[in-house]
Amino acid sequence: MTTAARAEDICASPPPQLVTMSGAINRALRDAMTADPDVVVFGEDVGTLGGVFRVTDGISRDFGQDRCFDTPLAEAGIVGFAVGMAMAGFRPVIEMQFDAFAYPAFEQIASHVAKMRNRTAGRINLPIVIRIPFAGGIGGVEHHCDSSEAYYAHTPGLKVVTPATVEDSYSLLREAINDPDPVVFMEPKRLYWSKGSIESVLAATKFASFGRAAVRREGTDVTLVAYGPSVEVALQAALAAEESGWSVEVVDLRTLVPLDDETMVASVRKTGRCVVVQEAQGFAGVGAEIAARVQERAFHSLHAPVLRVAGLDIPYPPPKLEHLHLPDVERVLDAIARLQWDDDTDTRFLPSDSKGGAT
Amino acid sequence: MNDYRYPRGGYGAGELGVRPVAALSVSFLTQAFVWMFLGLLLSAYIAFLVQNNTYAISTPLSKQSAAPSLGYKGIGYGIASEQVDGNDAMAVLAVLNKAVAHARSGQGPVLVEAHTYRLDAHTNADDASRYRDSAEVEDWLRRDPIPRLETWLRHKGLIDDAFVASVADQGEAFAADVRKRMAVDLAVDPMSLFDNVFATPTPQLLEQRAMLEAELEAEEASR
Repeated sequence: MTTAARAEDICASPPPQLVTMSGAINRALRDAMTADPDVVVFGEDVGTLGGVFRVTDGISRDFGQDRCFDTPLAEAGIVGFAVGMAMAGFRPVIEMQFDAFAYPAFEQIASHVAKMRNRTAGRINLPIVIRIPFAGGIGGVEHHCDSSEAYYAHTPGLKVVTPATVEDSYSLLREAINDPDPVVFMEPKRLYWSKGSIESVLAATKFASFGRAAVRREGTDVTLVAYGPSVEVALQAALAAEESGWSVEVVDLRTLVPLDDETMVASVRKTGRCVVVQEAQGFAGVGAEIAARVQERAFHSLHAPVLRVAGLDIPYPPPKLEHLHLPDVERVLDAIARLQWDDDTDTRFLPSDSKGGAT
Repeated sequence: MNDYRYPRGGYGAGELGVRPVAALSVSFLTQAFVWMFLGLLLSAYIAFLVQNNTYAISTPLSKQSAAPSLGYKGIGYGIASEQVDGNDAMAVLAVLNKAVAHARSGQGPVLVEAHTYRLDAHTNADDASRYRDSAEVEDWLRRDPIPRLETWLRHKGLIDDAFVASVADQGEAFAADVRKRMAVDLAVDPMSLFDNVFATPTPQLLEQRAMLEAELEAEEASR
């Protein structure tokens, strides 16, 4: 392509219109409701108010109270109601107002939503999407900032989707609503105001497929595996790592269930090093699963143990302290620095009396 | 394959009378109130029938609620509520007819609490003598709904000895058939474990499926 032709292209096409992630999700809900009269949206404050994050802004007004409505503050009831509607042939898209608000509904989700297909030997499937604004980073309080993905990912029968980009939030939500099985759709609330273009996915004939991770940035020395709110942290860390001479690849998992082993393992085979970044508390979390799977599948390609950078194992802290809890660029860089670049033994976990190379 | 879904748009008014109302057990009821809550909000055409059999395994209603009866609970939600002697079949029929008419008329859900008793232990692993005395059971045995219904129908001249004997025969034959069919050891396909987790199995499930298949083949080969 000549320089002139490229300049002409740029002049001819208008700049892409940017939308926020909350706007993209709103658009996805509207488009799905227009495409399929069975799609209904309900939850706490999603109707008249348009949701506490305005994700459902104007939908009740434009589609009517029968398609988008407010419910009582009873999450188990919201999910149970969705089960009944799905059994009657609807495709409910329900909102749990905040991550931790979903816990009263956990019995419905784990025991009924996740198991109905299996319980009925495939006769009844539940095409339900449970939207959950999750994770922190917005100065919210305890009960409003949980990273609850591991509970759902641990439950057979649930798909778990964690978009990290505006484009994915549209495309993956459309795919989730089309899916014949229940999907827990986890929206990183700190990215609600991030901006991007959804024009290409609006024009596409197919939505993003589940179980297909995306390499967000190519690199040769280290693979950072991240999802949801942590993808942005990983990308910033990758940029900062360049200054130290590390070429960092960033894999965005996009969906935790199904998980794309192939893409992340191929990346680690290439780079030989892996750090998992997750905002959730690290103990028994999704990052632990990823670290285990990477070493099971790429052990002979690894130059160093797979490390995790995760939130602290504490209840979500007050706003003034959340920056100490959340994995940030510095912590990711520290982890990268520990990946045995000079073949030095990592003495961090050795008993204190054997440190210092004593023979 | 049968269609197990509810009919689209719910049941028609003509069908409503022959469909079961939502039947809830006592132990289920505390949790069920969120549905009642939604049912009221949406003016659903629902008649709730609470079969209060007095015990949740060993826990009597008095340990579960300070309310004198579960019928009171619906009142708090603004739901029309009624109590009935659950061992009096004709009384249950009369009250439910009224309840279904109420629900059908669009006046919102209705709750009927039918007082009854679990005569046997909760399961064959349960020992009911640990938490209730035989005098209580004897008292309820005298109120057994089946002889009561029989007495009422005989008194009305609606049934005779021959009819009662034929119902007993049919019941016995049905039970014998159920026992016979339950004793059949059906062949189950181990691979079916993976069939209905998702419409399309995840790559992880396919790996586990292959693992199990290899294990079973190895087991078969070593026989």
